[in-house]
Amino acid sequence: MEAFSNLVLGFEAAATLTNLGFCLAGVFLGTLIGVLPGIGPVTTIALLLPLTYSLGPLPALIMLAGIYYGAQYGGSTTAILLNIPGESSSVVTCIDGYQMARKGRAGSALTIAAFGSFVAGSVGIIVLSVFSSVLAQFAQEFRAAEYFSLLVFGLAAAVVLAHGSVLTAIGMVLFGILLGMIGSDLQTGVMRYTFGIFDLYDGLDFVPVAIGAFGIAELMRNLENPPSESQKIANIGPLLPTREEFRRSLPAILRGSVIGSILGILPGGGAILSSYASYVAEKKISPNPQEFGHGAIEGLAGPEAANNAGAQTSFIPLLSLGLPSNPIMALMVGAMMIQGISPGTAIVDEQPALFWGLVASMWLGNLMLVVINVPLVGLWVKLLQVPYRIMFPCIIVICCVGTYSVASSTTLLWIMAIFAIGGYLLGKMGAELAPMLLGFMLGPLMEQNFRRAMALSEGNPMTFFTSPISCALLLAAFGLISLILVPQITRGREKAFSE
Amino acid sequence: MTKAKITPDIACGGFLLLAGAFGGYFGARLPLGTSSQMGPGYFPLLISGALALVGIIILARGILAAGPPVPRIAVSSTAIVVLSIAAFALCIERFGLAPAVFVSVVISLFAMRERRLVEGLILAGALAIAMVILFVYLLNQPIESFRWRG
Repeated sequence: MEAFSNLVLGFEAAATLTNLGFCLAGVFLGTLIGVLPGIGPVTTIALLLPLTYSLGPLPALIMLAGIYYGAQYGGSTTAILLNIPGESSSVVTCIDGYQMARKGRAGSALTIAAFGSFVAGSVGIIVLSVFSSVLAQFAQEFRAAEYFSLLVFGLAAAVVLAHGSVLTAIGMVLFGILLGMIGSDLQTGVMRYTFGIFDLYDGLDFVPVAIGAFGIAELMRNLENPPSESQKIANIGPLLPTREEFRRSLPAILRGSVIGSILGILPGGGAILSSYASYVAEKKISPNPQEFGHGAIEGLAGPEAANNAGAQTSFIPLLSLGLPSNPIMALMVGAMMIQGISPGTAIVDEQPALFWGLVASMWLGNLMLVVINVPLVGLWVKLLQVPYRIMFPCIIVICCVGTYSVASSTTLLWIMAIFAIGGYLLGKMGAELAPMLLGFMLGPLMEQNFRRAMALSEGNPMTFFTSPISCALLLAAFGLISLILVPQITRGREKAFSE
Repeated sequence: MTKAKITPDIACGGFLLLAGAFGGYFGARLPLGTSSQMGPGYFPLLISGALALVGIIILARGILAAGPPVPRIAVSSTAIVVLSIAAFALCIERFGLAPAVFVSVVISLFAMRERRLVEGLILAGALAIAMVILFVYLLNQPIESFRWRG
């Protein structure tokens, strides 16, 4: 059976000492930054990216992926123990997880979260294995027009699923695309928007953009209200859950795994959306909804499973179509390009060792996380005691040195600073940065495919609609956006009428 | 009482409009080519146009709808973070990694309300050493740890 032999191939690739080492490093680092508020997977991955250059594609991706799903585990620990979400996907975990901790059931909550995440991760990986090959096969037929429409659809979905105003998100995507145009035009070599600045000739490097707009801007926001000194953490209590807790959490875990696996695939989805959706679902299904918010185990187990499953399946669009579905996947695109791999539909077939090795490493990584996380709780707790006034200079400095070392260039630092200010101010204006980063990373690709499609059709824009796949994707994109915009407009009209 | 209030939408819409105008102006000066042989300016012009359009709509929405003003911007702490980064950028090539880290941390200390000078200086020193060990020795980055000027 082909899938089985592929998995064997994958495990062989992933289980080398080097790759296991990088996997462990990745998940450990991921848990660490997941625990620490103020620094997240986007910043960390962006910082480590330039350093992965010499590693080789598989170890690099294994480590970076480990950071992503490791951060989901880490974020749960602070959420349960301190009611502080380490990651945005852990916000939901705070609700019932912290309440369980207050009742002295923190140990049980942590164990259920870890166990649930492992089960969900396994489910997610199975979905990843099955779907990726299917999707990749399907997408082999894609030509320039289809690919362009796929990118439009991906961006549209990311916009629709973002918080806040859809229109603002669209604006940010367009702005990101425009930023991606800076530098020399790939096809003609003409300089665009460089204004004679030598360092811009190759375009804006995404590392300072990502670190500035996400890491430093976040830091600036945190400095407005510095996190107060951490409170004393209540007694953790026994680590093992009671039979009752386990019995109730198991179905929630399975439901969460399914929800997370599905939602993770959607562009703009991933861990965050999955955990929210799972919480809402669990509350709706529960025979005791009033328990939610006071320590309902399902309210912890479901979202925890969902966010990990979502983290795994969010790799599907990237690995099967070359389409990054969230900023972290966009950075993975960067990592692959640094290694000389251009992400696309051919990866599953042409680089089976890479693809299946990565998949296998994810399962191994999840296993490592369960094993190291629960005993290491004490360590994470100690780390959380570090006051923010010590943390934030560390973050600034690491970001500065890391960014500078990308090319030993101070221009990168200025870019980082500009995007930090911009990211901070735009956040105040209600704009989301994630759509901008996606637009920035995908813009050049969109342009290339647009140009090629138009060249092939000799200037006829209908080519995007004559192809059934392309047409379907564009209609779907348009449909998604209208679905969200129309209620907003009609609401506005109602308001105008009532006046 | 009609003090001009800037809502997030007005600010955002205005920004996007400006960005679109900027992109469109400079994009239009590039060779545009034809639709079957698109020049470097074609796609940027399209995007800039769409950007400006979205900006106008958001701006209009901001002007027509009432809403809370833009939330307070913490000017001093933000400025200090930027200064800290700027100091690093200015120092690293003249003085090397360790001094750059040190100066950068010292400046950043002013972003917090509580002033613990001794602790801050120790932190700055420790970080300077740590960064040198991490990046220069462990990761072999081509950065000078210390450089005497002239």
